[in-house]
Amino acid sequence: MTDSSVPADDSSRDLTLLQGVAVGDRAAFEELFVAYHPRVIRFLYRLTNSAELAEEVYNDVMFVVWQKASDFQGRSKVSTWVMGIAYRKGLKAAAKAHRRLDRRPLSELELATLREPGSIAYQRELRDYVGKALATLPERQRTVIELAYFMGHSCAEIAEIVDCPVNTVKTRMFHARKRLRAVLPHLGAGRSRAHREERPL
Amino acid sequence: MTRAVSRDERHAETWERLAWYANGTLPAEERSGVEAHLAECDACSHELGFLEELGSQIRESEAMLLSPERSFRELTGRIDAIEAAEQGTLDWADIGRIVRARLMRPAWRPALAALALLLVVLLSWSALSVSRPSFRTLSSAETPIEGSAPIVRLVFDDVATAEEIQALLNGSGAEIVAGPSEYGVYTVRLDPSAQPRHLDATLSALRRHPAVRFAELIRAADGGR
Repeated sequence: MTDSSVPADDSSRDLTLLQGVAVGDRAAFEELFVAYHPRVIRFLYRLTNSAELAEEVYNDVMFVVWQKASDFQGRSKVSTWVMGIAYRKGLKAAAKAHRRLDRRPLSELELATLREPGSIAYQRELRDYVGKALATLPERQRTVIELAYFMGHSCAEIAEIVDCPVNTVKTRMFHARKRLRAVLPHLGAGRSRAHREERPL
Repeated sequence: MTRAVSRDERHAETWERLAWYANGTLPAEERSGVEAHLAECDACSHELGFLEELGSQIRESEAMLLSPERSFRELTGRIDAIEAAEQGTLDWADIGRIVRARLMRPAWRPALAALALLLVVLLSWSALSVSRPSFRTLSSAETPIEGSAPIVRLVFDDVATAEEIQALLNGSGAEIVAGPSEYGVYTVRLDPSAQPRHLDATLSALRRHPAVRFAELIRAADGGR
């Protein structure tokens, strides 16, 4: 099992809160609203490239959650359902406002200016560089990466959120990895060594 | 009969599954196969390190510092207003909440800015209209001047003396009937007995005179023109 810490799976808590929302419980709604706010806002920001628009769309998403909570059948996780609404509303809002995250090529110079590994400045610059590398991806590939590594969704959940076959998600993930590997060739080299050292002799 | 999976096939399968192994969502029944392959494959081990670091960097990227409390207040205000509308108990406060929720949307802001600009222009124009002096242009409706004599508007040169003006008017058989306006415009009635064919010559003479800056006929003898 990997040591990466994906966002906690709060499925049962979310379901309890949503059941409260379905019967008009404002306190449950507020708790759900606050719990989803940071990650959905960030996801919407990556889709719309506007913090203001992300916040506006988030309120629209949660308005749908308030209205449709009683329709939730429980066939998927609450987070998958909410992210599906967020994805559709975010795409629509971005198209309407003509706002998408710009795809910019990364320059060799940017990679070359990274500081010494291990320093705080290096970590900050590396994070910034990874953000730029993500921005080079086509939107659909970037969305799959965000949903998998920021939101911690499975392949099947992502297929449900973006409303496409599982194999399409796998293909997008494959191409996204290939592109990111090309611009971040040394990322994770230290972790790889650690994995090898852990192997039984 | 189960076909034996080749090493290459196992590698390709693991390579694909690593993406989901790295984020902890790979089904349990597939994990053991991945882990067994990782133990003997440097390329996959390296790829796992890459994916884990990628996930770590993405999760640690800067959070959006937005307040959920303010957003929640706005949303509940909107919900209250809509529910009140549905129950037929909408009051002015509810209407205000709906309008605020809609008008504060970024998509509306350019239109609101344009509307505000238009209002400023209209108010400015209105203010100017109020303070505008009530002088008449050549095409303005004129207070009726009795008789059918030709009428001209004249503006005299600033340096023209009263004697010069009087001499000019006397020589043309003209008489001032109104003015000067705030802008120095005189309304002058020409000799009613003058023949219409002489009118153009009279106007030309007025325009050429050094004491006259402007002369324009506004009513011919027959009241037509």
